[in-house]
Parts: sequence; C-alpha cells; structure tokens
Amino acid sequence: MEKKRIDDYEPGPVPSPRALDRFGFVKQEHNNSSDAFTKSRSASEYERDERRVRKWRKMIGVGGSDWKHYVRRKPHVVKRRIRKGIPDCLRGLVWQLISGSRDLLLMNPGVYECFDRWLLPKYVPIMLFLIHGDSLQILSVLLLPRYSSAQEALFFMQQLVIYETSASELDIIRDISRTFPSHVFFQQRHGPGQRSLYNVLKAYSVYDRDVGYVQGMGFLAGLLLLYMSEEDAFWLLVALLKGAVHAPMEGLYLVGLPLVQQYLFQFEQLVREFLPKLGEHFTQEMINPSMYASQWFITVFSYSFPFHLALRIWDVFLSEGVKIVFKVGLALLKYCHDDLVKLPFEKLIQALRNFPEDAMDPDTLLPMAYSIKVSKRLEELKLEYEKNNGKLVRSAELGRK
Amino acid sequence: MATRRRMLLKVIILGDSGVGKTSLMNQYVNRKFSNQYKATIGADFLTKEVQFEDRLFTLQIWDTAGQERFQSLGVAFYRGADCCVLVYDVNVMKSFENLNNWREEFLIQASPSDPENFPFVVLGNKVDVDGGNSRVVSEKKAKAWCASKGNIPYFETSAKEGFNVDAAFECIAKNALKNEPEEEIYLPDTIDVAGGGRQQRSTGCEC
Repeated sequence: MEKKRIDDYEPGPVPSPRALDRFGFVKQEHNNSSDAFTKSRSASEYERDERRVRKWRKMIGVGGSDWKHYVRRKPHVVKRRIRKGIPDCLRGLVWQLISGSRDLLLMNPGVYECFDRWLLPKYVPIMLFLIHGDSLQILSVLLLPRYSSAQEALFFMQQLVIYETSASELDIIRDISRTFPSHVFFQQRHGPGQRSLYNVLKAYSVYDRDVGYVQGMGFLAGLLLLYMSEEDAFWLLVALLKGAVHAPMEGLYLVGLPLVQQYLFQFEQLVREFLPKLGEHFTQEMINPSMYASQWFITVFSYSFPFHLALRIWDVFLSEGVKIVFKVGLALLKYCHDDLVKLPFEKLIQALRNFPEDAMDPDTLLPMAYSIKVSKRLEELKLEYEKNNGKLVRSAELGRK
Repeated sequence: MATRRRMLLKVIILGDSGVGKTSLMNQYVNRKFSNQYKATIGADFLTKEVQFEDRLFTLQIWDTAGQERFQSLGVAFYRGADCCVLVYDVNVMKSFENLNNWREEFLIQASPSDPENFPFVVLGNKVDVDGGNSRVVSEKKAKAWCASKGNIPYFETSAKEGFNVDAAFECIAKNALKNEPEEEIYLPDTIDVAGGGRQQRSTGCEC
C-alpha cells in the first residue's frame, strides 16, 4: 500500500548534484536544521525506533486490517503514540486510516480515475449517498430527468465540467512550479511530481466546483503526495475538506474564506487570554493575526515551517483536528514570548514569520502545545463569532443575490 | 530643528497571481531573483530603509496573494497604505485588464480620504521574457490606461534582470511620501522632498 516515492537511504532514480535532506528537500547552504535532529543517531536510538515501528505494525495490522479494532480498544494508547510521531515508513498508510480517506477510497472504487480524466464518474449516484453538499452530484440528479438517457445527461455534464474547470486549471498550472520548489520530487519541470500534483488538484477542482482550486491547497496535496499515491492523496483531500472525521475544512477555501476569518478571530482572542501581555503588545503595535497566521491555517503549517515539524503537526492534525493548529500557534508565541513583547512592529512581523530554530524543534514545541487546553474556549469563541457575524454574513449573501 | 525620527511609508503591491509581485519586492529589497519562490499565501512583508535628500525613511512593503479569493483577507493590509503598486505581466493580457479591478478593490477596501488623488504606480513586469517577443500589452496601451486614471506613473520592469526596479520603487517611495498627511511629517522647512510642486505628483517621476 505504501507508495512512498523518495527513499531516504537509496540513491533514487533521479540523480541530483545537490545535497538533499532526508525528506528530499535541497539543502540550504547555511541551514542544516532539519538534519540536525536526525543525523547523529546512536545505536540505542536506532533500536528504539525499530521497536516503535514494530509496535506500530502490530497496532495497524496487515494493510490496516487491525487498526479500527485497536482504536476502539485502546484509544488513549493510539492518541499517545500519534502524538509522539508516526514512524515515517508507516506515515502514508496511517494518515489514510486516521483521516477516514481509506474508507472513502474503498467505497468509491474507480471514481478518482474518472475525475482525473475529466470523465463524469459513473459512480456519481453512489457518491451522492456518501458525501453531501457537492453541487456536481446534485446537478446530476437535477439533470437526469431532462435527458432521454443517462448517457446523454452524462455527456452534457461532461462538457459542462470541462468548460467550467478551465479557470481553475490555469491557476493550478501557474502554481505547480511554485509548490515545494525546493523538493526534488516537485522540481523537475513536467516531471512525475509536478504531474501528480496537477492531476490531484485538477481532479479536486472538478470534484468540488465550489472550492475549485485555491492557492495553498497545493501545499496540502504536495505534502500528501510525498507519502501516498495520487488517488490516495485525492481522497485524503476529500476527507479533510468535506469533513470525514473532523469539522470540514472547505470553509478555508470557499469564497470569502469564511473559516479563515473565523479561525483568525478565535486565535486573536486566545492570544489575548493565554498571553495577555503579548496580546496587549500586538494591539498596541497593530499586529493582526491575518498578518502572520493565515498561512498556518490555510496550509496547516506546511507552507513555511521545517518539514520534520510539519509532519509531526500533520500526524496530530489528522487524528485530533484543527485545534492542534491553534495549540501549536499559541505554543510558538509562548516560547518566544519574552522576545516578542519587546519588538516594534516591523521586527515583530519578521519574527512572527521566521521563528528561531530552537522554537521549531518538535520535541520541545509539541509537548508545550499539548499542554495548552483550547477545546472549550474554541467552541465558545466560535459561537461568539457566529453571533457577531451571522447577520453580516447573511446580509452579504442577500446582497450578492 | 526637525526630529530625526524615521518615517514609515506603507506600500502595498497588488496584481494577478504570477505577475511577479514577490520577485519585484525581493529584487528591490534584497537584490536577488529566484526561480523558486513559492506562491504567496496570505501576505508577505519586507522593509527597506530609503534616503531622500538627507532624510531616512522606512519603506514597509506588503506583498499580497494574487488569487482573487484572498482579497477578503486584504483589509488589514490595505488600510493606511501610502501608495499602491499595481503590477501586471506584459505577456498576459488578462493581468493588464484586471488592473482596473485591483485599483477599484483597493479604493473600496482601503477607503483613502482622497481617493481621486491617492497615489498609484503601475508596473508592467517581465519585459525580459522571450526577448520581448511574447509581449501582448504594448507600452502605449498601458500608458494610455495610466493616463486615463489620472496620470498614474508607469514603469516597465524585469524583476529577473533587475531592470528599472530601483527607479520604479524610488518613484513609489516618493509618491508614498507625498501622500503622508502634513502633520505627521517631521519636515524641516528648508527641504523640498518632492523636488517640485505637490500638484505634479503623478508626472514628477515618470520616466
């Protein structure tokens, strides 16, 4: 099942004159950060890792067969182990299990291929029962009675899909080479990495026309493609945006970016409550979370954070949901608190976009993040946000109509 | 005696995705060009110290995401801008046609006190591409549009080769400076920053 493309230890088929880190990123000259945590592994550490992998294999079972059973029996063990980091060699499979994407894939055989090739899936009626709110599927039901045969209706919709996605397509193409440009898999122009990225994003934009393609989604897809096949990555995107296990993420990308706005509101309030001195300093310096945190939410830390940290955050994000993004954000601010409160606007903005290396060590940052409890406040703040903005949103919608 | 306090000038760069906003900013501030910029998500930010006639200013440059959907995040960046830079790609007609939308969107969101005279600067970027053979927007056409919008200064640039980037940003800084309300300028009255009348702002530095 594992289709990991970049092998850590073997010289891959694509020879590169430049040195790569263990994740396949071209090493920066003065920045060996991501290796610093992994390079000098002692024999005991190596053995410990081996033991961990064995435990994980047992927990998952062959191809994930024991996973659900184990999760039901020992949810706390699973949670604890995920928080310690999923072994890299099992990451792709475990991500699919915890995100619910594996179930979607199994329930919709062959569907990705259809979207990928722009053919209308013959499985659309099946999917209708699985995922709600997709306009394409609703359309198929509306259109069917008007055509003499199902084939005719499908042909019509096929044309519609091709026509309507052309706008997204140009946006996708423009961003392909601007997504993880320093990763060996995505570097080659029209190479397998860029092609996969294009296919997944295009398929998603056809599948969900309300979202289409939005900048930032490429980083999600790119990260996933380093650990799984196109089809698996597509279904994981679907699971995330449509909310197979946790709250749907699609609001991060819909017109008006409503969920980004909500998350930024919640984050700003949490900063004020958890770090009042810093919150006050932000207010005085007129720092707004949209100036530094929108990409944290839109790309779940995959845009500009060290890759080994992003992966650890994704492990927890897929199993526990978006609250880890808030927790990590708060932990970062807390860790750098004493420096940040002294900085004037410009230096502050720079600091919030370039955290020091020691702050981004997962083994320091993540335990700190886990210790911050936000669930209850997040829920309350969400209600508060909806109360404040409900009217606004509704009147804006009416205005548009 | 005028205070030596440095003045802050806020500049915002707008334009379609992929026209070179990030590249222009980095070329100007860091004198670097890279083929490996990531697509900007949300917004990016750089500052540069600039000197005009004996006085120091901090130019605060906001680089924004070009995709239309990100405009809803723009408010925080648009407010308080002293100059708005509109960028298009001379090889992409659509990016030129969209300049009007970007201008209007900015005026709505930033709601400057005097929208008629708010300083914009237009940059036609990527003039280096294919030796100019793939160009679809002529200089004449671009200048005509700029003239119709109240003589917006216009520059043709190549962020890749660094062509005209300094000249463009010098003009941007000067225009931003002229937009600052009088009372906030710690200006010794012997220095004429604009090097000319204030009324001439839109033609003052057009090359």
